Amino acid sequence: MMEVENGQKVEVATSMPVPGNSGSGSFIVKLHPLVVMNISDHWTRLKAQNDAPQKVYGALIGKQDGRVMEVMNSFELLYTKDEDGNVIVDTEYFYVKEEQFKQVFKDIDFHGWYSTGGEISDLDVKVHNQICSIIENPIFFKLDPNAASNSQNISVYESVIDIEEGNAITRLLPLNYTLTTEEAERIGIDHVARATNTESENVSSASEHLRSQHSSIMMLYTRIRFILGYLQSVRDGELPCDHEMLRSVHALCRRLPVLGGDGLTSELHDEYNDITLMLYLGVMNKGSQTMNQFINKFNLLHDRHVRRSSRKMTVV
Amino acid sequence: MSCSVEDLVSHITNYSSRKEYTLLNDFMNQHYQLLLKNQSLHDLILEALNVQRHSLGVLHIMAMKASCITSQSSLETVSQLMQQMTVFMSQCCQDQLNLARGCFANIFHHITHLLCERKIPIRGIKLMCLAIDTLQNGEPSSLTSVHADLCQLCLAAKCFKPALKYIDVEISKIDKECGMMTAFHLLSYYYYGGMVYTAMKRYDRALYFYEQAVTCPATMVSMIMTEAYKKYVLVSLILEGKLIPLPRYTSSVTTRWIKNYMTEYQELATEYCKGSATQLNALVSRHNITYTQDHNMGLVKQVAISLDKRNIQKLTKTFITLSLEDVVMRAHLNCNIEQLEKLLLKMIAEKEIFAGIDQQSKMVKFYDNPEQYNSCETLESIDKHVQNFMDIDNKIKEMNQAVMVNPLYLHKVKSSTSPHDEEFEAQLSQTASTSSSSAPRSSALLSKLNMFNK
Repeated sequence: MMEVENGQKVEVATSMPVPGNSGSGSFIVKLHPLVVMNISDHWTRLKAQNDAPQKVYGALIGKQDGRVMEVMNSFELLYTKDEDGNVIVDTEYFYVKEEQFKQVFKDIDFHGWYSTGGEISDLDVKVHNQICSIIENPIFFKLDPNAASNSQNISVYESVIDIEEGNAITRLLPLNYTLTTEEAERIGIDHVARATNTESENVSSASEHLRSQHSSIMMLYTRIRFILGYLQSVRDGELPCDHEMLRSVHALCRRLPVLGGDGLTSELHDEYNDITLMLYLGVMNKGSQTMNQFINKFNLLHDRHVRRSSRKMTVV
Repeated sequence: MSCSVEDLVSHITNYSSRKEYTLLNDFMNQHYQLLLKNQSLHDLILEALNVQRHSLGVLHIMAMKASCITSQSSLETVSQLMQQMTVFMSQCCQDQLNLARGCFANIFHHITHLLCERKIPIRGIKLMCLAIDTLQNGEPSSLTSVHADLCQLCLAAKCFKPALKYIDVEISKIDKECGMMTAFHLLSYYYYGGMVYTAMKRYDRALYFYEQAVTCPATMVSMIMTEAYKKYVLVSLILEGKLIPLPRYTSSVTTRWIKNYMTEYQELATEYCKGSATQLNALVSRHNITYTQDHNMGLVKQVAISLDKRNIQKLTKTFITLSLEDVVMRAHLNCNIEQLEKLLLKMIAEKEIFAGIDQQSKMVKFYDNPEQYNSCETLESIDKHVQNFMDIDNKIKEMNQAVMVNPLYLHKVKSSTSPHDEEFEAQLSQTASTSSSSAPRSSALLSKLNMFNK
């Protein structure tokens, strides 16, 4: 797909990169989820402030180690729009921010910029050229906030300058990226994601956790039953015998003895009993609370004398 | 009102066909005395009636028949009555029965009395079980007056298993039986139930039953409560080694009466706590007459044995090995070495202590309890407790809801918190939603997890 714009040819590769696949690109990008969260927060904020979705721009910072680039954080950039609608990045602001970041994080550099939107447009290329003048070889990160969560909504590009027909053309090539994170970041992002998703506060996180575990165990259970049903029909002669299938089932069964052993059973029971005891304690607490409520109501109903210590009757 | 057979039968059939059971009930009650005199007519009337359609009529006639049987009647009449009751229960109609439950239960009280007089209690046990099932009508935790009869028969017949099935269930509802259920039946149930458990050596449950009998709200002390208290003391000593004080909600008349009149048993408790077997035995022989009169001598002897065992158990906390002579001396036992060895072996077999006896050096070595509580059985027992507790919790929640919608209650609450009306409304709706939503969620999850446990 070629776009001809003002004598400059812009080429965008047609195939969209899938993370994990080997593709073209001179280096590998490792992306921290913090960056994604920052960008989405930026976009959402502006959308809420201006009542309409807007294209946002910002810079990416991280570390580069040979061919591997790790993008760890991001911040927003100031820009102005001139008469043609071209976006001009405020370089002054950029330098000030760079100074400040260098003071705190000594070994983190600027490596690129981000924007939101769908497909690559010439506007993006123009801004990219501006950034090129500040940083060498920047990468371009594009987030599509309107895409469905399963399909591709994150794309990373690098620029390559090609000489074609005598003109210098900036080409944006898609790059592969992988997600990487550290413990603290994972916990924090997880917490934020949860906080934005939960509607009611009455649901305890323990029961949510248990619920997800329960559904996964149910899934495992139904699948094992399915396999068992298949084996039974083969044994009864209803279905033809597929040796490859049987071999894989056999391999599955072979895995199980790894989980046996006396020591494991006694430890398992120890822990199981401890947790059940705590559950019992919790149940007793709840029961006492119900009992207390009932006794208060009963006393009130039958005009029994209320004890001095709880003189103030609260109907709970 | 002439009471010929045809008149009576026509009355009963008329009322039954018009489904005016309350009127029939009143009619039968009015003419009770009259019909009672004509014993011979009873069988004739019964033949003319159909059990299913005229259950109420049949029931009343049977009640009259039962009250006519006296100590002089033959055994056949009693067995015939029992047979007829069995047939009746298998075919009767519950709705009609509900109007005359007290009458129904009375028949069984009478039968129990007759059987005990004739010393053939074992015959009645099956019948009583059937009667309880009929009266409970699908709610196993409701108490009827026939429970006490069943326990009494089981005790007299020394055959305890049938009763266990009914007393193991926690009572959550008392069947009024049209006003004929009294405190007597409740107290007898707990007293006899306690005795059944004592005989089965389930002392913890027996203690609970005796305690229930003694702590019944009362304005006058009943004889049943006194007997229950005596057994309470003895079972408490066997089980715990000391007299567990009665709960605070025991009525004051009972506590005062106990202080004044239960001196022998109080002394026994204090002597037991001192720990000397010889002194205890001396006390027992002093009060021999009282204990024998109360038919508690067997239990008192068990108390004496349990004191010896408890002394030995105390030794396990202090020593690791001990010679047999030392055991005799330190536990203040007055038996010789062979008897002690036999006693120790018995205790080891019943898992009351963990020890080994070295024959050569005549030493006893005490071990720790090998129970690690990390087995399936522990898990199952904890799980069972949790489930029981959740059942109780659900019951209390239901009771809670019932009170909350009671108009009298709402009226009282409004009057007591009238300046805070809005808060009160908010609180009401909040409690209704939180109490109903939070627990079912956790209990549903738990039940699903338990499914995998099995």
